[in-house]
Amino acid sequence: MKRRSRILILILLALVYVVIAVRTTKMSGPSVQGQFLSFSQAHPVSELPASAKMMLPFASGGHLGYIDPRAGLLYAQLSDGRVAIDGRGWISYSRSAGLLELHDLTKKSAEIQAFAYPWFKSSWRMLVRGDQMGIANIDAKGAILWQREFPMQITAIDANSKRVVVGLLDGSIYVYDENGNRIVCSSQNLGGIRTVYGLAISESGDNIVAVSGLSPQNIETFKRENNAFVFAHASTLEKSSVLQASVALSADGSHALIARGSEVLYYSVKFNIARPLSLPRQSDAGPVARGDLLYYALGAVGSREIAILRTSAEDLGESDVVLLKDGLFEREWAGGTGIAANSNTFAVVFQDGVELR
Amino acid sequence: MKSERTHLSSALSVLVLLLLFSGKAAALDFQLPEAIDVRGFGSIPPQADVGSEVYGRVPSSSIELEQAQPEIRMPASGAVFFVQREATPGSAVFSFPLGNMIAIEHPEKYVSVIAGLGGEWDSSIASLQPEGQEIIPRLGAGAVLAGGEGSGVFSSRFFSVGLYDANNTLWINPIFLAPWIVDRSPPVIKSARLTRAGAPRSAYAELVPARGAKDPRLSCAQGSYELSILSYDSIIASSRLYSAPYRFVVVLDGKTILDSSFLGAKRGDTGLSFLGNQAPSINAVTPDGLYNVGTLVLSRGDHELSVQVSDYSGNMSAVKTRVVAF
Repeated sequence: MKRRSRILILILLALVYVVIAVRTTKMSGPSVQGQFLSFSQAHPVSELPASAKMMLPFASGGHLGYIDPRAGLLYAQLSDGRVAIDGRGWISYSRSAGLLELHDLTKKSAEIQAFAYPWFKSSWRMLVRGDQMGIANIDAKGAILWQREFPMQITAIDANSKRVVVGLLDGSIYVYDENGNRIVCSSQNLGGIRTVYGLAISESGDNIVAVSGLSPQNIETFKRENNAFVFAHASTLEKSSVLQASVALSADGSHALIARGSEVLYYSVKFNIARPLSLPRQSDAGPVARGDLLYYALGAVGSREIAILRTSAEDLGESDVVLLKDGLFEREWAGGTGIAANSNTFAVVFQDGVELR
Repeated sequence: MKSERTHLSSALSVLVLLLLFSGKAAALDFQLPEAIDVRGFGSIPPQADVGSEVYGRVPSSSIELEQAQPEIRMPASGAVFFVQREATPGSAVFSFPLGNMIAIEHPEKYVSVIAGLGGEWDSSIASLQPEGQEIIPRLGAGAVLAGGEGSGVFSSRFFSVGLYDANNTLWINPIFLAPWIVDRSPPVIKSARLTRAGAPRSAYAELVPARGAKDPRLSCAQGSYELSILSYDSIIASSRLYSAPYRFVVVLDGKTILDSSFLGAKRGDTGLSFLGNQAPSINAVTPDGLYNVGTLVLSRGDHELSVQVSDYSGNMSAVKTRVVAF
């Protein structure tokens, strides 16, 4: 009798594990259609009002521009693709990390003397040095405010409104405030290769989540204590991967999505549990084998949603935007190339226009 | 200016290298693949024209190889522990400047980083790590990595190779691991400046005489001076890629007072240290792109100052100047 009960309990536990281990991605109810703004009918960016702070900047799908969500207006121009953009303007750059041209919203442009790629997030305007071993914080005019060098290559970078976080090939994590002062982040020495494969900092600045190490590979959480980040806990991943990962934390800091190659992982910060996600394509384009897809975490949308970019490994021009809420499938936009988002609203960018939600 | 060849510095290089590797070279077995052109360790980025301040104009801790074909062979066997994939240009995803890059762990805690790989390289890496299996992909020495159209800052057929010694915490100049290089031309010294120590933007004295000058004598006040040098080297004959030279030696009144080289770049808390300068590496170059070689003291009187710049093969150029300090 006892033996039967044990077997029954084991079977029940196995069923529970199967249910939570691979989070289902069942499509939610009928989607609400947003407002579509076409590039062909967009206003030129030169007509943009000088104050575009409330607008949503975007750069993908062969265009750059701004969306005015209140007025339902789109300002756009063609772009050759290498652009970093924010509410104050944009920097275009060449593949060779030269020819950095800064454009502000007053139609002025200036050249930035640098061997670097620009990277913008929140209010940060950074230059990532061409050898991937340094960063510089620049102001609206392109002048360097501070710069830092690292002894190994940068493998991951993220920022919230107050902190910028950098992970290195050797496993180090560097956190800086607005003035370039380093904030202590005590990483754990768990032995083996300690590379940081991806990381993200929460908008509140309370948590840093990093994928690091290889054998074993962990998702590590660092919590803010006073003016330092201390190791809180680690969750060992079932499968290690050598691939660089893109990581996005939800705005409420409850969970993160980790995208690497053809794999997406859900990580609960609160419960320190990581689970692989299955994201089958919902569109009419037909099922594509999982191994043929590549995923990138685009960033937080709203409080609990995170957007993912899904591209075809065969044809990198073919992509979808997928929105997940608490790690569960919420909506898919076939043909989406990117998003534009702030705390109140967001839009999905396509090759021919944007859909404002 | 006179050019001459010496075997002394080349012998020294070999000696230092042997000490550096302290018998581990056999275990590492690292050999740079043959290339049609090379931009050496310590070189500053080609985009940065000398004469203006440019962010990112720092000595390189890797070397750049131009291959005849859009592919590169693995310099040594090892385990691939990091793979960076370049995103599609124009997508919403940020791509890092090194493009498609891999990091490989070799025996004796050496790590190499190869960047500029093509778009099709990573499927072969992925095939080495089957889904669901705990296998760290291994690549053998000589394995071919496709380059395709190139990636990151590297155009097709150009690759960057860096070699890190985790035991000694320094990036090693891998040029000495390229026995196929035959370099017979000495570096060119374009400029050698003395600037008052602690006043980097003050007026400077130029040691390289102007063309046609008959009296290469220099007068300056006694005191401490920073010596900075602009010099280029071609590692491969008829190279289009200007490289940093290897070694700078300064002889004052017959006595060697400065001797620095691009043997490696030591890791520090604030970045990398080149030519004996403190980290970060920006300290190794002047704002307009000359190498900071060191500080020398000129006491009152007449001096004979010789600046010698040599390359990896020991080819040397020198500038000799009579300095009158008052």
